[in-house]
Amino acid sequence: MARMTTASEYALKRSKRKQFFKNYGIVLLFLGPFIFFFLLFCVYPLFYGIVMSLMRYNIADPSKNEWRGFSYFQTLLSNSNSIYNTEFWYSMKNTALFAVILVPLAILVPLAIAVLVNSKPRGYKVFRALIYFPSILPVSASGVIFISLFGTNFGYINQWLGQTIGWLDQTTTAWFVIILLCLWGGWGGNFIILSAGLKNVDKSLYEAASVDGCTGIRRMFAVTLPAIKPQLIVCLFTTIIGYFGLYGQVYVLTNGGPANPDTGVGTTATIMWYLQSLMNSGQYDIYGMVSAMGLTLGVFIGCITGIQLFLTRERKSGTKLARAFAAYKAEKAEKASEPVPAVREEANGNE
Amino acid sequence: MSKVLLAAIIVVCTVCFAMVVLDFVVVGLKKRKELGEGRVARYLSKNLFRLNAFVFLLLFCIVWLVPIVVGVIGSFTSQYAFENHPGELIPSDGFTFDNYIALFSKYDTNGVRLPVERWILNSFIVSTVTTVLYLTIAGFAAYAFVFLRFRGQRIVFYVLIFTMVIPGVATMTAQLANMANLGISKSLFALILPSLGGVGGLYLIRQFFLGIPQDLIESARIDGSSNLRIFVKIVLPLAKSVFLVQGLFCFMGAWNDLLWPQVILGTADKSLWTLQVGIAYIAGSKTANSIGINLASAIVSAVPILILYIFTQNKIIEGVAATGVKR
Amino acid sequence: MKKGKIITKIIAVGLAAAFTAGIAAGCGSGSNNVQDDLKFDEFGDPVFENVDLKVWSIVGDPDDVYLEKVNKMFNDYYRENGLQAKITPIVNGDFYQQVANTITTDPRNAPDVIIIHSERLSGLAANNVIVPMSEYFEAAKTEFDPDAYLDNVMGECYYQNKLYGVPLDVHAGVWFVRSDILEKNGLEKPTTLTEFVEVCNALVEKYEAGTLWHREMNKTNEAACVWTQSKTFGDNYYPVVMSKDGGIEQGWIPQTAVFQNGGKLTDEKGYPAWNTKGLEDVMTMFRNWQTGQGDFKGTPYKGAFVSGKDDVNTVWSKLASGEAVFSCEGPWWIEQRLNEYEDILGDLPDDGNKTYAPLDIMNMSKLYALDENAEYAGEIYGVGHCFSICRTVTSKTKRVAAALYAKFMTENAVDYMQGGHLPACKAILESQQYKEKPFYDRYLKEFGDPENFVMLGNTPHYSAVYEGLKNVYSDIFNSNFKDRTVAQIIKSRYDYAVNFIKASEGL
Repeated sequence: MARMTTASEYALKRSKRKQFFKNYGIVLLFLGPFIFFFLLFCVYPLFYGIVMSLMRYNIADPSKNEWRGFSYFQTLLSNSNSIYNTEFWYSMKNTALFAVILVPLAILVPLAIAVLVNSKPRGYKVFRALIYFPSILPVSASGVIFISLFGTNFGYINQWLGQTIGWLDQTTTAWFVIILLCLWGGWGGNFIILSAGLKNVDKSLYEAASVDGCTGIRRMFAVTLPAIKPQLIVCLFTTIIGYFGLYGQVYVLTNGGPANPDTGVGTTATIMWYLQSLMNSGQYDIYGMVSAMGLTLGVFIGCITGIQLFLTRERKSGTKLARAFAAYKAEKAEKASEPVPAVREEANGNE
Repeated sequence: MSKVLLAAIIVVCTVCFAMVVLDFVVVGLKKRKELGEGRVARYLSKNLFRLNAFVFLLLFCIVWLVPIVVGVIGSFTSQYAFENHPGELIPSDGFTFDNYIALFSKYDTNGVRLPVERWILNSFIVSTVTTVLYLTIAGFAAYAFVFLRFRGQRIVFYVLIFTMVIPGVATMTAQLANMANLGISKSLFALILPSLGGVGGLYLIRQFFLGIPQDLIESARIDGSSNLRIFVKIVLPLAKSVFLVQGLFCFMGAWNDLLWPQVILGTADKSLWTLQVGIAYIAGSKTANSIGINLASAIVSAVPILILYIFTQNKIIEGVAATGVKR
Repeated sequence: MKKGKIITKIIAVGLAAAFTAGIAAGCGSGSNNVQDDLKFDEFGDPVFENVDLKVWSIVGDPDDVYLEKVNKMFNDYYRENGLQAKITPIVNGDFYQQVANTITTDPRNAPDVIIIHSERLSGLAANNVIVPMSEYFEAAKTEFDPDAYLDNVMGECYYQNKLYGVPLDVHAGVWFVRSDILEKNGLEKPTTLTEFVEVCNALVEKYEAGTLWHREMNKTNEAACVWTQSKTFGDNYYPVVMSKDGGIEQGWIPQTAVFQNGGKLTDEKGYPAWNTKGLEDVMTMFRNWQTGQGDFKGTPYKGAFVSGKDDVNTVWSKLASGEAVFSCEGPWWIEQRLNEYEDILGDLPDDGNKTYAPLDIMNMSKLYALDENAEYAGEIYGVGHCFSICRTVTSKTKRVAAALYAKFMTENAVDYMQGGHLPACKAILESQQYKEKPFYDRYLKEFGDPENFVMLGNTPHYSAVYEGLKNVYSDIFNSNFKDRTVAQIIKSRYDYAVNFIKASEGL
């Protein structure tokens, strides 16, 4: 039975609809394009990957696909007889070690350099440009340069030292070279972000701090670091994710080697390198397993970043920010001498 | 050990030592209030940290650039010199353009010269279009996340963040099928579109947007400005720097990418290649197996982006420096 | 409340759609239906109208030029019939990956014919990438006679007794020899392992005594190319270059060593079978060559032959400097290198006004046979290239065309052999045209009898079998493995290969 619609109901509905579009039309307009591409190129492959991880997926011939349920995950998590299990965790361990060494270095070194540059010594613009420069090189290019530096027989370093060290043939030295390449060609982004953050720390905070007799290292911890917290979080977050995806440098320099005498597995094999080496092993039905590994890795990184986000909880809500801002303003009005560990945006409002 | 290296180490150590001594002297004198009133003394007492920073940065930059210098010099060194007189910065048989000539005079089996200029153009198209589109799309999305209120905002954002941790390798096969289904697997769209769904840049932009006071936006709203107007007139100027930074990252990412273009474009149609794919092809062929050619290819693949960097680095870094502060 | 629900709904629907799409894509079928569109003319020959074959080839730079010559012959011959082929060489390491990926995800851009290594054929056939060919020869009313091709490489073109490929060539790694240094010092090119060791001992001994004649091949400085007896190379002199990461030696030497001592690379199941005593003995010998310790059949070594620190760059540089007399590389280099050495050193006389041929090649026959009289001592590990048809070709006419293409190319591939390959087609081997080619006399005949080439054998587990053996060789030269015995290395690599296969079978 068709329902009669009274004029008032219609008007109400219409206004509701209008309200909806007024409220959400703009959201759709602003967010829509991104979500569209995100769904198409991130979510869809992700679900496809999840489906793949549940089957023996043959990229050469889909008619040979067979469902495997969660057996791949079971293998990865509990069956230590399978080489997929042992090698996965071995390369995970390598990657974690890399990350543990690299993440602090890749944040502290750029931070230190950024502090130096931020003091604006003579020609600091040139220094800034030069320091960032290696980061614009493609990994393949900087890898080639490093090989020409660290080659055994014709490498410049060995020639200068008068040695024939097999830099890339021994585990420790190979790691050293990889880490060097990661640092040389890798932290420019962090450097830029951090120096931008430092630049924007409100000068009045420093002045207030120095009135208070807080200088040098103490000022660094009490004023500077809290002030660039958002930048630090961005850096930490992207760096951890970045180094868990460490692949190009290893691929170019050592291709996973040198081998471990006991297992024959490469001692510089990172998890990403391992995944791609599986995919390129010429075995067409390995893709389900590779997807399962990728997802396990994803959950793993997800946990780490979750913990890290929790530990460095930021103020999410805009109202909170506004409140903090208002509080800061009020405090300033009272000419309170104690510096507030302020977030960066507070600098904007003091006019 | 070569004399050059030894000399370099000695110079670096001496400079460092001299600087440390100077620091101690100045700080000591300052403490005892015995520092004179001369111009030098005043300068030192005021700018000690800056002076230290200058000296340190100078040394650091010199060491920092060694690989670049070696790379450039190596690309002008013949394979002969590499094999017979390795380690010489000035090769005994002189500098040569052979490596570059070999790179640019490569012919395919049908006697057609490889279209290097076409590759450069492709790389530029892909990088520029990707950057512009991504900044627009992600900028609006970040605005929605920071300055608009809607239900499920946080959940959507967390979903986005979560997908960031799924490695690209794991979804590559799916992405390939995706491209083929959309019918764009053999076109430059296949290089541009997938990166538009990336979350990393959105996260960075959002993080900077959080630094813009909500009061500013609220008061603009009360004045009756539409969201679009607020975005263009207030947010964009304030966050100019993050767009520059993200733009640079985006451009470089697209320019330097090798794996995905190689996989998706294949080798059948060389006129579709990007510069990186082409360079890898030439440097990887068996007749070109030499350090010099590899270095030359590295330099060539870096030069266009280097030129861009030289012309824009001031703007970019100054832009970064001006982040958020608009007086 | 309601608005919230709508958003949730949209998200839920979106996710569900993505999930279903994922499943649908995951279960898509690789249909193999062939459209029977073949027509014949009044003479009973198949008719082709604008058939263009897309060919992907693993044969890359530098020998792709010679393959293109043959392809041009084909195009000229079949132009009237409306049949053309275009070869795209793919030099990326992931050729087999790319073929499989493209065929499944993007059939429109997939190749019709692929030129592959014959040892990879089983793996491709097992995964349905390529299709059996016999019926298309029948359809074309052309006879395909397997006996017209060499048995060894033909054997690799079958999978489960069906013909999947037509063989083009066989080839193997070769030793490059500084024949001028040997001749000047009164030594001869070795043909057996015993002779090889004798020559190396003599070279080392002469160098220690300061009586070894040697000269450099120097492009830019002719003065460096004169004969000298000085001890230019320091205290340690190594006449042989064996590098652990060149990719060439490890791809030929250990495999040949297994064959020449009576072993096989694979067993009937396609599992590795190279863990033999012969391999162990030869690898132990290589270790002794690095240290100069030990003896060969009772005669102690005069010194180390191999430095143990060589890499891919030293393969050519040490040969050019005159330090190394023997260096192993791929056959595709031969022509280029012979030209280079002859240009610079060919006409340079010594004091007695005598000129020497500076460079020569030598095949691996008997070089790793501990018993030189055994019937298998002359075997050489060989690799073939072959033509196969991809399953993405759905038109029968095109499949017939592809079969004809494969046959034509392999039967007319004389010019291709210039790149350093031996023909798989017996007719070419015996033809006058082939034997009259200058490159035949110059180097091809040095390759030895193609009948002596032994292939890997049909195995779908190619990479586990082959890579495992390659790794044994590089481990022998790796300082990380110094405290492992050869037997331990072989066992651990063998176990790993078997575990790898078992794990992949249990997927």
